[in-house]
Order: sequence, then C-alpha cells, then structure tokens
Amino acid sequence: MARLSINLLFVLLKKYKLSLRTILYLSVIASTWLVWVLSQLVIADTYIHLSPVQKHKFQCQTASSENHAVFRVKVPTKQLAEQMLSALCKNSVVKRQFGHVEVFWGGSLAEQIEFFGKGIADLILSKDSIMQALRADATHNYTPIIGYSSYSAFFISNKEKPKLEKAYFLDKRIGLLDYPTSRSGHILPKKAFKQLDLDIKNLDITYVSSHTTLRDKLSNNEVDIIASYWNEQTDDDKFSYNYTTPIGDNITGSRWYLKLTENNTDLACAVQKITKKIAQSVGSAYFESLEEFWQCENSPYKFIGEKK
Amino acid sequence: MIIIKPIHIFSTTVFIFLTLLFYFGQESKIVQTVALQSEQVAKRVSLDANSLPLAEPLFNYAGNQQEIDIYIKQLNQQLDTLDSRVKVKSISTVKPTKEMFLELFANYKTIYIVLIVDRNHIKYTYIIVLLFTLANALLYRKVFKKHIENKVRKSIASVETIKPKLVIDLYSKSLFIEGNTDIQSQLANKPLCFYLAMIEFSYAHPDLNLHLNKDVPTELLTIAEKYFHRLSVLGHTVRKRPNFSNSLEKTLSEIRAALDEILRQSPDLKAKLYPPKAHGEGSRSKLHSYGLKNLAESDYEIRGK
Repeated sequence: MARLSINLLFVLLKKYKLSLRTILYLSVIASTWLVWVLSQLVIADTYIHLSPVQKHKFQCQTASSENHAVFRVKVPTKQLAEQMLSALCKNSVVKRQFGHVEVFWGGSLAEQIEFFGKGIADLILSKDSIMQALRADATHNYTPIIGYSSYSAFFISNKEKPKLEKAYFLDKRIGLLDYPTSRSGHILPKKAFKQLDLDIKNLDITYVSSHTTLRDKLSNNEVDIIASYWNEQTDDDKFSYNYTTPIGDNITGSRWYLKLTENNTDLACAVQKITKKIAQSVGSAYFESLEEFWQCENSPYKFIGEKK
Repeated sequence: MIIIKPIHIFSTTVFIFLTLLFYFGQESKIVQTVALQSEQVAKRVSLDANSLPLAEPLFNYAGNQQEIDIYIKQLNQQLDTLDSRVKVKSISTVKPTKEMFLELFANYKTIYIVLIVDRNHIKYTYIIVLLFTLANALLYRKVFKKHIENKVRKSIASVETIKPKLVIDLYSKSLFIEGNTDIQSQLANKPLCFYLAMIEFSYAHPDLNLHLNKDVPTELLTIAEKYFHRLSVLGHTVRKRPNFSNSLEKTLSEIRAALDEILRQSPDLKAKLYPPKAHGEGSRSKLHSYGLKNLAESDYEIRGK
C-alpha cells in the first residue's frame, strides 16, 4: 500500500515534472494536515443528548383501551406511586370506568396545590389542612375516602423529659422538619415556642426532611430534642416514652381524597379497598389504625363521614 | 558507533512535529468536548432541579441527600451509555472548596455541580503519527536514493569520457582493451602483421577502399613486411616469410575471430576496428570494402613498434 502510493507519487512527479524535493515537502504538509484532522476525529462525537433522569409520572393501560378516560393520582413518594399504579390497573371497577391510569409522584408542596386546587387529580393523598385551605371539597367535590388515625405530637429527648419552659430550650439543639405543613414536626413545636415567648432566631434549630432523619439525629446525639409523633412500634426500642412531652393531640392524619363529581359509589369503595390494603402492607402502627369514611360492606354503599 | 544519517534527523524531526501536533489536536478537541458535555449536563440538572430535593438555605430546606445520590447515579448511568467524558460527582447548594464546579444561578438558590472529567487521550491512536512518520521516512529514503544514483551516474559518465582503446602488444602478440587485460586474444604472425598493416594503412588513407577482388595495395604489403621483420627482431619464432596477399579471406576471418571476443563490450570501438563483413547476395561485389573507416589515433595503441 505504501509502496503503491509512493510509486503513484513518482508517476505524478514525472507527469507534472515536480522535483523530488517538492514532493517531499508536499508529503510533509499533507501529513501535517491529515494528522490534525485525525486528531480531531479520534475523539468521539461531542454531542450528548440527555433525557429526563427520573420519571415522575407512571402510567398503565387498563383492559378497555378504547376508553380515553384517564384516572389521575398524585402521591408524595415513588414507592407509593408504584404500588398504586399496579393496584389500580388491576381493579375491575377502574378497568370498567377508565382507559388509562396515570400516577404522579413528588414531594413538592407547590405541585400538590396545583393538582389539588385545580382538580387535576382524581385521587390524592393530602392533609385536611390543605384541603380546608383550598376549599377543594366545595370547588371540586373532593371527598375523603380513608384517613390515617389521629395522633399526638411530642417533644422527644434522649436523656430527660423536656420541660416546656423558656430557659430550657435556649441552650438546646432542636431538630425540626423543614416542610411547613407538618404539624407534629413544624407547626406545633413552633407554636409552642411562640407560647413560651421564644424568638425562633435565638434557637439552635436543625431542619431535616423526614421523621426518620429526625430520629437518626437524636440517636446519634446530633440534636438534643426533636418534635415528632410517637411511633409505638419502633420508638419504644430506641427512646423512652417517659422522656416525651406532649405539645398537641388529636392531629388528623393524611387522607386520601377522591374527586367525586357523580355519585360513583363503586369507585369510592374500590379506591377505599386499594388504599386500605396498601396502607396496611406498610405495617407501622401509625398507618395501621385507619379511619374509613365509606360503608362498603353492604349494598347500598354510602358515605358515612367522620366519626365524632 | 552509531552514525547519524540525514534520514534519522529528518524522521526524528517529523516524528516530534507530528506527535506534538497530534497531542495538541487531541487535547483541544477534548477540552471542547468536555466544555460542551458539561453544558449538556448543566442543562439537564437545571431542568430536573425543580423535582430534586436540594437543600435551600433561604427556606430552611434540609434537602434529601439520598435522593440526590440516586439521581446522580441514574444520571451517570445515562452518561456512561453515551460514552461521555463528563460524570457528575455531586450536586449541592453548598459551594465546594478546592474542586472545579459549574454554577447554576436560580432565583432562591445557586446549584453547584462538581464534575469528574476524563481528559485522557486515546493512546493507541498515536500509531497514526508513527505510520505517517514511516511513510515520510520511506519517501525521504527514496528521494535520497535517487539523489545518490544521480551522483554516481554523473561520476561514471565522467569516467567514460576517457575512451577505451584497443591495445596490440607486439611483445606478447596479443590484443586487448586498455585497462581490461582479463580478455585477451592471441594472433598468429600473419594475421597480426596484416591487421597492423590494415590499421596503419586505413589511418593513413581513410578514403581508400579495399576490395577483395582487387590486389592488396603494395603499400599495405610493405607495412605488413615491416611488422613481420619487427616480430623477428623481438625474438618470436619465425619460420618463413608469409605471402600476405595469399588466402586473404582466411586471414580476415582469423582477425575477426580474435576481435569478436575483445570488442563485444565496446560496440563503438568495434564499429571502427572490426574489418567489415560482406552481407547478403552479391556481397562479393566491387562495392564491399574490408578497410577500416573513421579511425582515430586514440582508438588504438601499438606496443613494441
């Protein structure tokens, strides 16, 4: 190959009467150019196209693919979204009434307000306080289906029973939740500080994103006091109930709300069945004690409302 | 001892030059690639930032590092499949120290992305440089060889200007080309003397034709007699004086046979010193001459005259 190209060069040389020296110069120049071009080509294509990393929307098709009605669900976590998706798509009532199920997940409060306040979601896991703020029951006829039982909020410490005194909190490291809709981890402890006439700016507060993280920080002695609910199943091993001080009771837990524009009792009971099953599979005491808002044992099914 | 030849200097220079060029070419492309891919990663993170639980100091958000780690892992998996030179090490709202980072300014937070950048050159591609150097070296050698050949040819040509000549040695009664004593041939007294006479006669009378059907000129015979006498003086065995005009054809063919071998390598000389043969039909006509034409003094040398 090299021999051939060199011979070719000599043919050219004879034809165009170029001197050998010129050919040599040309060859060096050509090599220079080629080496540069190749140095650019050996590095793989520079352009990369990145698609969205996390899907925040799951969907499935029910048996009736001709049906274009979509059942939209909004939940806070991915795990819950996956459980809901498969359960809903298998449900016979949902199959009859809807062609698709879409489950959106995400912890953003702003998103939750969009889905809830504008009536986008057919089913949503939210809090009574948010429902009240948005008047979602009046605007879009959201009806509670199932609710986690009421609970109490506490200051929890590891070494002593916290005292509700102004001076007590001043030199303590306090762990709170960072989302403002949490009653046990944010609203009620702050309300307590306010009642004690404490300026929050003067307190050593660490914000974390979940109740679990709060408990981890307390066990690791990163904070002295946390504000949370009491979980009988897990907390009895790690902490002492004696070292808790209640700051509020009868807090309504999260509820599943269904947008019920028609008197679709079958759907309400189907959703109650599914959500109850999922809640129980999680297996904590907090989630086990559920409050059902619908009477689904005997026909006719009907809304029974909150227990007084 | 290693002798440094021009080809070595040439090859080394070309190799160093091409290596540097290839290195900087690849380096610049990598820098460009890394910049572009970093921008792509920044774009993706910007779009996803809304659903990322990043810490937000202004709003007391603690963020969720586990979620962020999962996100980074998934993003890196995608980058891996795309053969990207850039990987994400961390995404946070806390300004990293020491490391290089990308800054994304948003309304209430600034996101810092620390990247792991692969700036490695693809090493095996450097074989390209080697191949180009080799090609140029081969070409250089070829050019150099031609140059040397030309030089040699020129010197040979200058040697050839000193024309070869036929030497006729009376001492050994032998004929050869000057400088090439390997090929010699001997001649008997009669053809030797006759040939010498022919040369001398033809040189003196270039216009005269010698015809087979006519008598040999007396002048030529006289010269031949003279050389015969010289031979006997030099001590060669002489039986009786030959008759030079007898059996002329035989004498000529003896001369030709002796010359054939000696003059094979030098056709120029042969044209002058070889007694012309008669060709074809009617060759014995009056036109054919066995005399030697265009003789120059430099074409022959008689030793022992």
